[in-house]
Amino acid sequence: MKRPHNRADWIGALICMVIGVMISLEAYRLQAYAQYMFAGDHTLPAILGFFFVMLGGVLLVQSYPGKAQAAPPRQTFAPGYEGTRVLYAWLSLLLYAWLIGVLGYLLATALASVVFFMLIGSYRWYVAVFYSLLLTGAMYTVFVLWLQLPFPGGDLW
Amino acid sequence: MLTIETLQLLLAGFATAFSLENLLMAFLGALIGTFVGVLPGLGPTSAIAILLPVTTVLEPTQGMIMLAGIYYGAMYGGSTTAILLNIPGELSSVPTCLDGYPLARLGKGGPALGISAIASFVAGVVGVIGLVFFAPLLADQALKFGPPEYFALMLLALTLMVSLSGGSLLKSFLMGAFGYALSLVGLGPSSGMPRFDYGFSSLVGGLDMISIIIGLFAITEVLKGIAEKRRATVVGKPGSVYPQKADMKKSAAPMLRGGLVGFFLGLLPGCSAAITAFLAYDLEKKVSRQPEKFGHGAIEGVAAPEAANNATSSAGFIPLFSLGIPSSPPLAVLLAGLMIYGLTPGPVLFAQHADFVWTVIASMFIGNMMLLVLNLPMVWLWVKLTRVSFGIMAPVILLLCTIGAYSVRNSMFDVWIAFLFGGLGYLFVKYKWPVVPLILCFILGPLLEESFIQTMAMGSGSLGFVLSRPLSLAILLAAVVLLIVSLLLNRRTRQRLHEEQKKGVDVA
Repeated sequence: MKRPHNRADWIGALICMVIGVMISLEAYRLQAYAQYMFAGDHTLPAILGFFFVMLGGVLLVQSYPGKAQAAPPRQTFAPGYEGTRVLYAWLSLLLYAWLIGVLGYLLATALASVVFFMLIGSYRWYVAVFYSLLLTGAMYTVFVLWLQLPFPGGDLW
Repeated sequence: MLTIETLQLLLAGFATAFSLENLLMAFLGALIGTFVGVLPGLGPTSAIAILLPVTTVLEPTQGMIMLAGIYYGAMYGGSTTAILLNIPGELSSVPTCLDGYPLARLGKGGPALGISAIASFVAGVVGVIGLVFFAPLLADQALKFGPPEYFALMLLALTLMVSLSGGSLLKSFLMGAFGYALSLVGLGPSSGMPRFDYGFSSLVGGLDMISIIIGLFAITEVLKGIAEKRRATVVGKPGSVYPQKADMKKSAAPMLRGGLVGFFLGLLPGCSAAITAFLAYDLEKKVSRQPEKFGHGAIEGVAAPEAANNATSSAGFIPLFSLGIPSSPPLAVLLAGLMIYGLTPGPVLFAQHADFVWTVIASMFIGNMMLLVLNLPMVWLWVKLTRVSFGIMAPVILLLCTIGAYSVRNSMFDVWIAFLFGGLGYLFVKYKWPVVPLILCFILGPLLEESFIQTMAMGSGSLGFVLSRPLSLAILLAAVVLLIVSLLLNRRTRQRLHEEQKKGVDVA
């Protein structure tokens, strides 16, 4: 079987086609609530669903090499060292969002910023803790104490 | 053209803009914008995206004045990094790198920054004068706009996809469709039924555009920085920022030419600052008696694209205010800002909120002046800022993003969305899927759907109704012309960009 020329585009095209099908199904569901066949909450979703499937299909075809094109270089999706750091940083962000709900804004921010300083700036732990305390203190003073932003207090307390 | 009424409104705008609070907002906007724009890797779009939630605590006029200041400031800040670090924050700053960075290497970074500030000021003023003359012309058509005209206008906005596509037009359209799809989440405008909620109550309220913008621009930028192991290093000492008489003499005509090219092409909704900056640079190279000096430190090569860049930025406010069409990524984020304040840009904005629009226009004059006053004496500070380590800035930006996403609706759901789109944005950038069409279509989605449904109802289910009205027909024809012009200009800009990338210019 022919290997796609551009694997990232191939995957993207497949995702687009799946999205297209999902949108079309939703359009079909919404059509039951519409007064007119061609004007209602379902119309734009139906058009978009069609576009996604059609354009995704074109991209899928384009991601395969043409006859004149040379054999595609093998694409790898294994993240390198920097890719792994990006992944860790992003996962830390998700963990931070979860921790805000559990520990509250102050503690979660202090912990998350230590991780960010160590991960992104490669600082030693005590430097990261120092920067984290400064940053969390500044953020808390300005946004929570001064501007009265009602951040979650944390489910744990 | 300029009528007595327009002049009166402009003067009233000046009177309001000169109030202490508004002056302070223009000053703060220009200052903060330059500050963020100078930080390596952060362009005007990211700068506005990060700072947008901060301005929501202000009343609309003050908020918009501050945002316009941030926009101009960030544009100038982007030029500073382009000249000193060879890092253009946006595509439009690439031509500035071509001669700005060689000048910096020759120890003339200071004069290059000075000329860049003066060119931005001159062109900014040219652009704002044009705004005063041309915007009312479009606004006069306000009352003739009905749903079919709005629908035609939304189709016109679709032509922007071409100039915002970056590389692949197909991916641009798919991303636009994704943006439209995201805008559909929530209650349907016609039936009031929840759509695309899949049983999650948080999705019934729809997705907040600020959290998506913060994710796709600001968080993505940080993730990109981590991947690129971003560091900040400045070449040598920039020298005095005040250009010599000879530099000024050489730059005067390029500034004017660049300003005019930038302004008139910037009026076209599909013409971005990147296109005009490249055109102005190439024009200068063609008219120069020493074209061989370009690319090796010609001061004209900084003056012309900077003027074009800034004039296009000002001209871009005309289609933004009068038609609701943003012609560049930062203006797309500014459009989101206007909508947060409950102001829908478009033909009726001038009729319904004339005082607001004219105050903002007047404050642009002041903002440009402040930028000049601020930048010439403070270049040393901006140079120092480019040395701030990314390892310190990135965590600060991430925490500000969290607060920005949360503060709009006081909801952790929006924070999750921002983080999710941050990761998605990184993948989009990595695999070259353009992000701006997504934002543009997400913003225009509700308006497109509403006008589409109304037009269909008016035409008894037929879209041919749009062609039967002169104004909507004219807009559709304009869309076709713009599409062709955009395709041609975009192809040319891509070729030029490709040439420069081959020579080693890296676009952040």
